[in-house]
Amino acid sequence: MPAELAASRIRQYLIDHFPSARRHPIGTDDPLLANGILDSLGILDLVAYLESEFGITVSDDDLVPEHFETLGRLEQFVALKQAES
Amino acid sequence: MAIVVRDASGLQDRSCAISLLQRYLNPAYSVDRFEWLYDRNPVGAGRLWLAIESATGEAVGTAGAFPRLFLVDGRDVLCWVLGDFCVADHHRALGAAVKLQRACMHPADESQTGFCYDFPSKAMMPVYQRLRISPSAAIRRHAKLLRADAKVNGVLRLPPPISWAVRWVLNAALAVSHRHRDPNGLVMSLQEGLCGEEYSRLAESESQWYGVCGKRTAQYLNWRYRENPLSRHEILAARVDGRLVSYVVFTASESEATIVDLFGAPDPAVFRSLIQRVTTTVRREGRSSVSVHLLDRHPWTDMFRRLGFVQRESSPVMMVPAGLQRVNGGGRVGEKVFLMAGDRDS
Repeated sequence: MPAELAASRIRQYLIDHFPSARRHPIGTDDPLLANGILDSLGILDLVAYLESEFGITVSDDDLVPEHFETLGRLEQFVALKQAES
Repeated sequence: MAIVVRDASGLQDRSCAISLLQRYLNPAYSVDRFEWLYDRNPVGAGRLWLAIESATGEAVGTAGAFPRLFLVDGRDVLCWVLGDFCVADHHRALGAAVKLQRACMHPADESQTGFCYDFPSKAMMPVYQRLRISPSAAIRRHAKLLRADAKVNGVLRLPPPISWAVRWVLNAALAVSHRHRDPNGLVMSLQEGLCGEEYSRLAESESQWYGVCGKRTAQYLNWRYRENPLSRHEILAARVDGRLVSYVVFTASESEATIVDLFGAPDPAVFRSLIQRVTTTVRREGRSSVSVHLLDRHPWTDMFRRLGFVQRESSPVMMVPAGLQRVNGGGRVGEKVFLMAGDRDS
């Protein structure tokens, strides 16, 4: 799956499920954690979505801030996990 | 940024753990509290873990587990209450928290451990969800209004003469509702000094009524309530012919009191007397309400309701058999466990 498509789907998921993601357009480098768009419960929901939508498995070791801090990082993370599998 | 969790029960990690706890859990966390909780528990030493960012060596989280003896079918079983959990703001992406919590589930040799239990905050629930652990029970606060002053002043905002009159009438009505006749021969008194062996004997003779419950020996009660550096507790004992039959433990802040334990022979009349005496005492001291936390299936829920306690918020209780494998395999505890606020870590 092209990286832009993955980013677009994740962006849409955030908009659909996180009210604070609807207030302003989310750029690739906008902070998701620092801006409060994602909290720990949100990460859990997002992980479930990533696993089902992209066929990846997210381990405890993957649950680190750098994978979730921006949309761009999320896109890279999904690509990395898809390449691993 | 990989996270590793390691045992930190040794002396060298204490200042690091205390510093994290002060920064991310409670600014008032003190060395006194730490030593009381980890070193002086008569059941045994507490366990502590640190989450370390491996690239930098920075400690980014901590978690603790504290031993408690429970009576299960008349046998002493070592259990662990979890607590002292915190993770640095910049690591709240679940990974450090999940790894810490997994470590807590293995505080000791599994063959010698009954279960771990926890009273998690709302923020902790995603961690348990990730671990696929569901709440075993819910503990609910029940509160009784003792004085109407704060409600009248804060909600009604009446002019002073009317406010005074309304408060007087409501307070008088609340005081009348507290009157109660004590059973014949019952003598109640505040425990002065340390609890004696009569408390251990009471635990031996009456724990059978409570299913799986904490073993309330005199040694444990003295540590938990008498030597607790965080808050002062009062123990109101009920005796018949000089023999201890029941007691209630309570603590109070400036405006509110909390009943943290109620234990003894299951005689509702004696329990009612103890609770009424507590409410009368704390009301006279100016407290506006008294609360108690009860599991939803607690046998005394109806009794508290009849005494004027009203249901308030509830929160989950997690009870996990020793060893996470058993949990993921569908193991379930908690059906017969008796817990009150006094069973928390501190």
